[in-house]
Amino acid sequence: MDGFSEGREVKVMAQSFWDRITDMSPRPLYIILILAIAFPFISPLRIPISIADYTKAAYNFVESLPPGSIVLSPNVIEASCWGECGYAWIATWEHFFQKDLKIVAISLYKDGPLLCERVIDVLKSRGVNVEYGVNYVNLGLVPGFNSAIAAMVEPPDGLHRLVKTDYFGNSINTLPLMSEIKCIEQVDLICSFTSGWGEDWVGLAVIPYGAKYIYSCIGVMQPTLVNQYSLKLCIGGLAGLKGGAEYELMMGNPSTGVKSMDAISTTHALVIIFIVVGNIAMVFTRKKGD
Amino acid sequence: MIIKNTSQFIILLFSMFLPYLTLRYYAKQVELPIIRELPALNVIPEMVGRAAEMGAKSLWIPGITSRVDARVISGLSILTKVAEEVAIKGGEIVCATARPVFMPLIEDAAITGYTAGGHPEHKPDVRFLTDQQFAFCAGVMGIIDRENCQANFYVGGWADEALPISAAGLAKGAMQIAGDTNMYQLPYFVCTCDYVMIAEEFLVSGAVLTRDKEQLGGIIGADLLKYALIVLCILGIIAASIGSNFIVQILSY
Amino acid sequence: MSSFLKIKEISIAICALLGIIMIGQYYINIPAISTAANYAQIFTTSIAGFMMIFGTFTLLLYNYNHFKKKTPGQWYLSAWTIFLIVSLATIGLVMGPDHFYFAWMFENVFINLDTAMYSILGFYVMAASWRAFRARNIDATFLLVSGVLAALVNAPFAEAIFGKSILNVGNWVMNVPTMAGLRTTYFGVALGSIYVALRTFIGKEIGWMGLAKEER
Repeated sequence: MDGFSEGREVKVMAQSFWDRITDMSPRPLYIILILAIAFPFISPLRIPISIADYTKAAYNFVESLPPGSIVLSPNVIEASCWGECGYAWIATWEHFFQKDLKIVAISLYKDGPLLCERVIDVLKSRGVNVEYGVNYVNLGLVPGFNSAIAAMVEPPDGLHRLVKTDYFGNSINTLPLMSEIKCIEQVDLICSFTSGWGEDWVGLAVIPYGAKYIYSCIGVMQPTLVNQYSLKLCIGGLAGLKGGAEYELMMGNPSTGVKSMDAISTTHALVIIFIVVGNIAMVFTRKKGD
Repeated sequence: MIIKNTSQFIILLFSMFLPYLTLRYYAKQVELPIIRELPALNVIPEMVGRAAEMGAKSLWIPGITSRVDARVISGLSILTKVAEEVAIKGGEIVCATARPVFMPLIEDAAITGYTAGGHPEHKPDVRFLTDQQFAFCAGVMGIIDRENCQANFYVGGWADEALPISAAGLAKGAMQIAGDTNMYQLPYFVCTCDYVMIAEEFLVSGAVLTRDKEQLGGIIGADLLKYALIVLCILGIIAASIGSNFIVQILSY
Repeated sequence: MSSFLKIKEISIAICALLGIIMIGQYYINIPAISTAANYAQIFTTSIAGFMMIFGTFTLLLYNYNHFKKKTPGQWYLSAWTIFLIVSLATIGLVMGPDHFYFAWMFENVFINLDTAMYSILGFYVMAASWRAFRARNIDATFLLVSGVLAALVNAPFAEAIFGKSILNVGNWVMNVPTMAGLRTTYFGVALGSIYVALRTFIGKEIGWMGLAKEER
């Protein structure tokens, strides 16, 4: 090689490092992400989890309910959100059954009824005593979102006018629990699980009828929960996987939700590292451009 | 009492009548005050023309929302405009929806647009994919990739499918416009789309597209309401700071 | 008769009347309005149920057309879609949705596939954080800083490393500027929605009415 082309090669290599970082294919990033998620499940980090005010408030309210209180538990959860909201759902229902509260589950989205049964199966495997029709009813899918909500809360018997049979085809008149609840007036607590479909329990039940409301949502909707909690429109709530982990800790029964929080920590740390590296690369490529 | 909550009822009447009054007022006026241009709407002809020249398709999606609310109605107005441009400039438009209840509305909005563009014989390609959110997301990503959609309009009510779908369009090099009122998805649209209409910009896009003086006048009424809200907020802050409950009592009467 | 019903003004009148009833039930204490609104809500719920069936048949028809025409790159996917719809619907209808087979497919196939698709979001966010979340200008810098704070507040490691101060800063960002922006947007969206409703009731917004074919 002659001296001219050697110098040119060195100059090209010095310029290309940050350019390569900037233009890098995302595939190595995906591999790093997979490892960051998998590692905490193999070797748990056991990072302590602090509990948010709204989760504590929700837990304390449920603790204050007398046995036999009726909880209306609507859900608008897709099957895809099970990994995020499922553990909060299991933890709250376990708490309800522990306190001898009665749950009327109603689904506003089609995946809901089977997910309700999945929660019940998990709780039964943990030794929770559940008698269908007495302390738990699954009313199945009621399509229509806000129209269904507005219809079911309407006194004196909106729920009975809207829903005639449960998920298994039994007439609701044959279920002992359903004789105790006809509309919003007999409900002591609404605990909804949502993946953010815009259903409006606050506008349709809390404000008009003064219902007590716990809002359990996916993590990205945490600002909505904080907003409602600060305005005292809801008692409290659970935000995503972290909310589920917090509730498990409050129950004294850490489970999959708590175990998953280490993966949340590693992935969030990775996002921040990638943002920082990407911005450093941007600064250096800009300088070189100048 | 016949009225459940007097102050709320008065606020509702005020919110509906003020835009109506300005709408009627500006219908008679020769000059309208200046209303800010929405760049996202001005670029629709360019996007459709670019797609037509490339032999690619345009794609319109109203999101995953299940209700025919203000967002879907605004999205349908944009569809009418896009269909008009497609009829003029050529090319095709694919309308993918996750809600079968929207299909007749989408068809007729598209036919209205084709008629306005001088081609009433065109048949709109309206597809119901699935109502499952991420299956719909996968289906749309497949449409963008297989059918080379280069002018993409994501206007309606969006949820978590916003990022993968718009990222798929970005990877394909498409020009993209988004419009939604869901603040949680707007950051993703801002990262992946060329133009984004935020909240109320999107809701008034139907009025802006008509270029009708009356409807643009109604926007001024809505803006006057916002000024009234700002004054109320300032009064509320002052009242709360001096320990007075006056504003809250008036609003709860 | 049918051409009479397609007059634009009839559609606008029905829409406006139903809209006023639905809005009125929250503000006016007349039992007739509440009853009418309740029935309208039940009708809507019933229509939503029927539209699910309509959507299924539309989907089958669309895929059948592709299968019949042997559209390249599409026909085998359409055949698979038709097979899945028909087989799952048959199992659900004949054996019931709580039967072991249906429940097994839901638990072990459907939930896992759906969750996998949802997880793709994580990969997109990773790629975006590397390439797109750049402090190009002052607005992007604010977005970036608040995004990083939000990530730190929700990750337990941040409190372990930085202590409670990071939570306090992050919660302040969540409770003050984020809340201010969110509530302002809610106001704007509410006012915009009221204006769209007004335009729909007075007949200025006609894109939804379905009279385009007659007006051609």
